[in-house]
Amino acid sequence: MTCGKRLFNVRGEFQRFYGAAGRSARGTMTEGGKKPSLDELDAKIRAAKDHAGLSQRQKLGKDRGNGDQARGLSFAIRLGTELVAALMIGVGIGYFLDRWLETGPWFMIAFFFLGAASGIMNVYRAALGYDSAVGYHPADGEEGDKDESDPNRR
Amino acid sequence: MAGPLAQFEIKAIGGEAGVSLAEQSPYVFTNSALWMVITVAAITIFMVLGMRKREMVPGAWQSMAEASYEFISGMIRDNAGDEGRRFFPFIFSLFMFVLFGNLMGLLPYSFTFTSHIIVTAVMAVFVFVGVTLVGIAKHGLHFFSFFVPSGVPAFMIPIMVPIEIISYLSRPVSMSIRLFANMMAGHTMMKVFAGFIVPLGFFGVAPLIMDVALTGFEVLVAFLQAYVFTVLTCLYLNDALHLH
Amino acid sequence: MAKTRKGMMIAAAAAAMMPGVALAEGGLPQLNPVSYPTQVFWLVVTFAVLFLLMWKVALPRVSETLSNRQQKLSGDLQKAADLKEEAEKAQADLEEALASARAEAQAVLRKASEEIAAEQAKRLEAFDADMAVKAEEAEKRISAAREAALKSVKDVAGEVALAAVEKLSGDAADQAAVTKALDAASKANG
Repeated sequence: MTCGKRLFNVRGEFQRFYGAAGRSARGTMTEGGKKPSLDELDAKIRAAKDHAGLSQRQKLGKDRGNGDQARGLSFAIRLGTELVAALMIGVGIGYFLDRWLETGPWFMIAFFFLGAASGIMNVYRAALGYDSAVGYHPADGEEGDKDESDPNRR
Repeated sequence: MAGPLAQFEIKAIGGEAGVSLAEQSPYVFTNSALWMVITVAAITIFMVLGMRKREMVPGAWQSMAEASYEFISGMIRDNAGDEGRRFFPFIFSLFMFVLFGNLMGLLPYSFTFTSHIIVTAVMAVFVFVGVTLVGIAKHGLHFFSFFVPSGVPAFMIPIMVPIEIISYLSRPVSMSIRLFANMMAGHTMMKVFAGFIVPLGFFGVAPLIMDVALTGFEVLVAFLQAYVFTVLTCLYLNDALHLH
Repeated sequence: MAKTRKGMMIAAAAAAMMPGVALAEGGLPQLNPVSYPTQVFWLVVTFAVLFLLMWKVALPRVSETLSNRQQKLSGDLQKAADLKEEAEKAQADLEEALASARAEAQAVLRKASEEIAAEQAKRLEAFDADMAVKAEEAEKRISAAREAALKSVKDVAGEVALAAVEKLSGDAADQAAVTKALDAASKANG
């Protein structure tokens, strides 16, 4: 196979050489020579480089896409417990304050409402995508930071 | 036949014979402890043996080990930023522990330690206290400005601060209850359906199919709960690192 | 024993906080505080072991492998790019060499054909010259032969004329007169 190819090539060279008298040699050279394959190689290398270089950024984007999906699911799971948990904490605090200060049911009643408010706020924040439970600010601010941070952080 | 809740019973292994759990040493080895040990062993085998060849072109096993690494790495990067990178070993361990605990709990005759509130609560409280300490270490007393939401009228502050504190304190509660309740509910449901298979005779096929479907669903839940637990850890960490 | 009692106290305290825990024996095993100390203890132990194993053993291996791969990948790509450049250069060199070889060959061919043409021209010229000389010689020879022949014809004619005159007239003819007559005749004939 290689031998035949070599032979063919030699013949091609011969033809090209002897044909050179009649027509321009350079034209045939660029058409039939190895240049196209080199161009292909160049394209391949560039593609591979792009892939390797960009893979992190692409992966980040992909991760985020997956993360958004998983986040959506996890968000649905979270809502119920967020509400109940805050209510439990509120009632618990009220109960212990009442026992400590012997103030009857008043702290418990007050903290029941505070707990409910807190639970609703948890749900509200989670629903708006603020994610973290405390503080009013959306997480977008530091999301921006994350995007700018250098790619070799891992 | 044992009830659907018998699977959550803690039983001493070894220890003093013929004595109820209450009279055993508090450090007695139990079925729960056994499955924690098995989980740790499984994770270690998965990670260490999977990476033993350290191949440039990884096989299926090594790919899975690397994928779990990159999954948590990406999760921390996306949710807690660069500074969260320091806590990678802990968060990775946490995720794998919960995930493997959930998944191995699906094996027949196994025990799901994540279906116990005390286990999930200890993990959640540890994360909660740890994250709070990280926040205080990083921001000092300024950390407590966290509980005073900005842009709120002054007269609202006496109401808002307790609400915020309750909200903050509810984090470990919701984290632990969510994981425990999900794992327990799934396992109880499977057991209930399983209990119908034999008594129903031929019609036991229906609960059997139901159990097969539930098993698939539980695998998803096992993963999702581990994910939620870990993502929330990352988010809380992010809050502590970058005060709003 | 003291530890057991402490565990029980913790359990009792927990039981006091949880409504409905008194029913724990028949209810949820998860709410039975008796099991809490051992679970917490083993959770802490196993998780600490897991954390140390991951931190010190497993994760460094993964990160090392990943960074090695990244390095190898970028290194290989760099190498491929370098090799490609080299190949391009080699190709350019080859093309140049081919072009110059072709030009050289053409020059050689041209020169050869010119040489051959010159040689041929020279030879043709020499041949022409040679032929001219030979033709001249031949002409000379022919004219000499003709003259000789003519002369011998004249002699023969003279002798014939003499003999004829002798036969006709019977006496010897005048040699001079015959010659004179023959000259006139040959002059008339051209």
